[in-house]
Amino acid sequence: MGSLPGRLPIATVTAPSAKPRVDVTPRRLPPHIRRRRFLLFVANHSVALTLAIVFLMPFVVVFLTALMSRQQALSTRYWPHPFVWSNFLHISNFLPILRDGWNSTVYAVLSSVGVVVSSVPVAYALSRMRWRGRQIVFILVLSTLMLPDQVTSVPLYVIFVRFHWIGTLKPLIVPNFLGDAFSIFLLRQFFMTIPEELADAARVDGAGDFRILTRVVIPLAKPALAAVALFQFLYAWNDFYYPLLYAGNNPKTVTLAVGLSQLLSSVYVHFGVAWNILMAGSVIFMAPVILIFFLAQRAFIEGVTLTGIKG
Amino acid sequence: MAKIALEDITKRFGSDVYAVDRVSLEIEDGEFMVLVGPSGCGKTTILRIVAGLEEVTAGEVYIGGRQVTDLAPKDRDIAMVFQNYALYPHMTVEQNLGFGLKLRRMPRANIRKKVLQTATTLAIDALLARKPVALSGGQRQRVAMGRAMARLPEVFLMDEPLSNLDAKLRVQMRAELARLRDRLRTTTIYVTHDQVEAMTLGDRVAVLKDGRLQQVATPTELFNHPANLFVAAFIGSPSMNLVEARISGGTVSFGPYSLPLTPGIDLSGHTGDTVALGIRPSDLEDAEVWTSDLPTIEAWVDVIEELGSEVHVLFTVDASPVITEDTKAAATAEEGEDIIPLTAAEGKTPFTARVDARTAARPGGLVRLSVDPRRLHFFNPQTGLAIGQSPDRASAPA
Amino acid sequence: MGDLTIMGGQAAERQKRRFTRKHLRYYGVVLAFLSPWLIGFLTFYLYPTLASLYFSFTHYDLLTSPRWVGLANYRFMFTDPQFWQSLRNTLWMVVFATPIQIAFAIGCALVLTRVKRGAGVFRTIFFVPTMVPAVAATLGFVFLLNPEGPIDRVLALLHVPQPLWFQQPFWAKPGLLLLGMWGIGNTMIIFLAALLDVPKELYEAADIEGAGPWQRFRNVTLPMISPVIFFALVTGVIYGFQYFTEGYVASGGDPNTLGSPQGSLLFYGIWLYQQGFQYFHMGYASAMAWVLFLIIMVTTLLLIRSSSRWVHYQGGFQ
Repeated sequence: MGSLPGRLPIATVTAPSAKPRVDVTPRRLPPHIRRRRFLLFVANHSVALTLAIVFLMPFVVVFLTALMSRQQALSTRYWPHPFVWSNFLHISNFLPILRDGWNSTVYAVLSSVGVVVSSVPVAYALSRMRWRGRQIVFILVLSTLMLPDQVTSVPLYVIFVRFHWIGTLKPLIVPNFLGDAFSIFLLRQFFMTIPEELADAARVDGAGDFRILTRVVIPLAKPALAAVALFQFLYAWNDFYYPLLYAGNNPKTVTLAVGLSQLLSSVYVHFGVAWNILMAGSVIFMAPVILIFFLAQRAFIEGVTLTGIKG
Repeated sequence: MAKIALEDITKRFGSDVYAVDRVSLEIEDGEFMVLVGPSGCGKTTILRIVAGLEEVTAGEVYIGGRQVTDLAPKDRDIAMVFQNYALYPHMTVEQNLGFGLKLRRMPRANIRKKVLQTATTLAIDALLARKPVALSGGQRQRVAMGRAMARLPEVFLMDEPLSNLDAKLRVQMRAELARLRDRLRTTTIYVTHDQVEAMTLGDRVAVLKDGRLQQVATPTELFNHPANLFVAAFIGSPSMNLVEARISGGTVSFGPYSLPLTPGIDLSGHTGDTVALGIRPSDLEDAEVWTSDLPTIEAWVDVIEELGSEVHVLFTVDASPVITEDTKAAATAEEGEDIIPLTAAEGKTPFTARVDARTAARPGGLVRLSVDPRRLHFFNPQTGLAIGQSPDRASAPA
Repeated sequence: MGDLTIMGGQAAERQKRRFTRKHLRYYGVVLAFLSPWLIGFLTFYLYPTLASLYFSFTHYDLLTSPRWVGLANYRFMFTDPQFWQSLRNTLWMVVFATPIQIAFAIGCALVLTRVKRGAGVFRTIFFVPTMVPAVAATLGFVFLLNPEGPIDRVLALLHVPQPLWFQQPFWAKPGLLLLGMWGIGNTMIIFLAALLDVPKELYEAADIEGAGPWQRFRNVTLPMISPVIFFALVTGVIYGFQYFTEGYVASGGDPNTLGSPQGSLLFYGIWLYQQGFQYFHMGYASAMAWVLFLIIMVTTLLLIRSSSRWVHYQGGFQ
């Protein structure tokens, strides 16, 4: 028998170690708590649903309008009647969609290739090689990210005029073969996670840095390379400012982004707003990118959070 | 009156994981109750259930006589000290301490006074303007305690508050906690996996394993009269020596040894059976240093551990060890690790004796150890329950 | 003795030379790896930055060589009404639209944390608009918000006055704000990750002390996500100062009517573009560019300075 000092004696209780288990009937929460839980559930899901509708609505409206006839798009009808699928075909009457689309594709694909090819060695040097001034160069790389486009635009334009590159896609594509700060940054962070032992093993086998890069690092970094290419593709496809500046004056090199904006201001629109054609053009423009997103969904969201949190 | 009653508490995760399995417990007003057990035994879950941070699957919780099972944590008049302290990182120590009071709309001047009081008690009044990131582990721990104390709740709940501190600091804080406990005398539930903390701090200790309550008793009671193999092996350091033995007539024999049974112990029902015999290391003493007429056993010494204040003599007994799920659970440091002594494979049991530092025992030499038959423990190896208790210590029925 | 030292000296020389050669080769490799970026940096960043600084002190129209005019461009800025208008419009975006968009992103992320079932589907839906190219999105909103468009029709049904949105100076920028809010998906994802990172115990401690939902938000959630808020603010502000594409397209996509209606969509970047690439006042455009650069740097610095007071980093806490 034990007791607390100055208090009642405490009886000891011993409990046996094994009891046959009888299944427990779960306890029901009192009604007021259940009611409140339910209301909260309804409230949360209603808000989520409303937001979902708000976010989806523009897609729906744009897509439906793209399928309407011109008069219908101007009227108060909500549902295309009939479905004018031919808008997607006839759009080439208003906008050289194939040529613009081709330009956008060339720009996006080539610049993605260029970015990957040129950023990989730089990222490797910044992350897996030791040399004096490495920190400074890295800071320089990052600082270019902070430079506003406007500061470099004017002289760059002058340079490209001197090269006679204005009116071609060259000013858009070529600089991407000379490194891209964002990609270098991303790849550097990724390369730093590759264990040094793997490189050491290759070094022992006599491999120089170039071979380590191509045989060890690159194969391991495939997801990061894919992410970089994906980000660049997205950026180039959506890019408006630079295609406008460098290639916007030559109809032969206009990209889809610029072409669509020109369509908005073009004659056909001013003389009776062809919303249906405009929306059809928008749908075609966003379709590839949204498709890629759904195919690579997980990669995208992870990539965004990686840059965001580390930032 | 802040008496706590847990009635048949069960907590089930998923469809078949019972974190807490029909635990009933009564804690008296002002009592410092320690819940102890290996990780995964359900002690933290029980604490969180009392706090209102977890919902019960079945059972009821009563604080101060009223049923609180459905009440939100803030309506239960409790305060909790978390294992990782959970201090608000953007607030100063003073703001951390006073946050609960501010929420209760206490006038600013009173809050200041109360906070100052609490801080002085815990010797952190010099740190009031600092933020948690600028504090050491021990200081943060005290702020966490102060935050709980400032509101003067009916119940304190503490979730392993000392386990993030380094060893020396832990011992220091343990003593301070004991002093606070005596000063405040608030009903407290304290969770730890460290049985030394449990024994030194608890008015009573509840031993848990796999969600089930094994035994609730004062530390002394747990030490002297463990109710089953798990409690016997878990409480006490170094842990109890457990070995297979046979009962015949008035003696118990294990290996080459034979000890008389005390008349008070009734093991007649187990004659001829194998029972588990337990002898605490502290109940084995060097018979050359402390002469007495207690029965002795002689053994060849394997290892000597000199601790200065005492000596641990390790020897081997030629009898099978008791290895059950209970003893394994008690011996493992982390869940999932099995520590089976190397000698077990040969059917021998390692024994430890805690003897006086003046012993002459040396490795390779003989040692004669005296054993008090009144301090032998017996357990049924199948059920793990203690057997042969004297009549005035009847165990509660299932 | 002398022979030995000469021998020793020669050996040392050989050592030094050997070291230097391997050293050189190594740095050669480094240089080779860096070369693409190095060339790009010098040609497309360093040179243009210095050149534009030079241009800002000249009159330059591309046909003749630049003519030095000292601070004339900068002085002109002060008297240029459209300069100030474009600055005001851009500041509207930075000071008004960006915080609203951040708050909306946090709100959407919070909603996502509350919904257990179908959280993934909702997350995708909230995120997809970010994928849409700016031109297409702006076009979509130009249609949506046109005076006979769906939104105004709904407002008419609700007997609420219908703004003319991009046809009305007052409502043009709010229209862009709506467009911006539609596309906060990527910011929202970052906040979602940050919200899920808040230690559960802080909420529990607050609960035990009696905090209600607003107090939990103010005292636990906000401080713990403050680093991400800081990141979103800085990037949002930098992006806001360079706002271009959406403003260009929303004012009709016509180079002749940029900034309409009535210059309400004349953003700094657009006025700069007009000055530099429509009127070929390249010196003036360069001067504007440098002023923008300065404004961005000062603003970023101010934000960083203020951050020590309200941004709380968890590092080293556990």
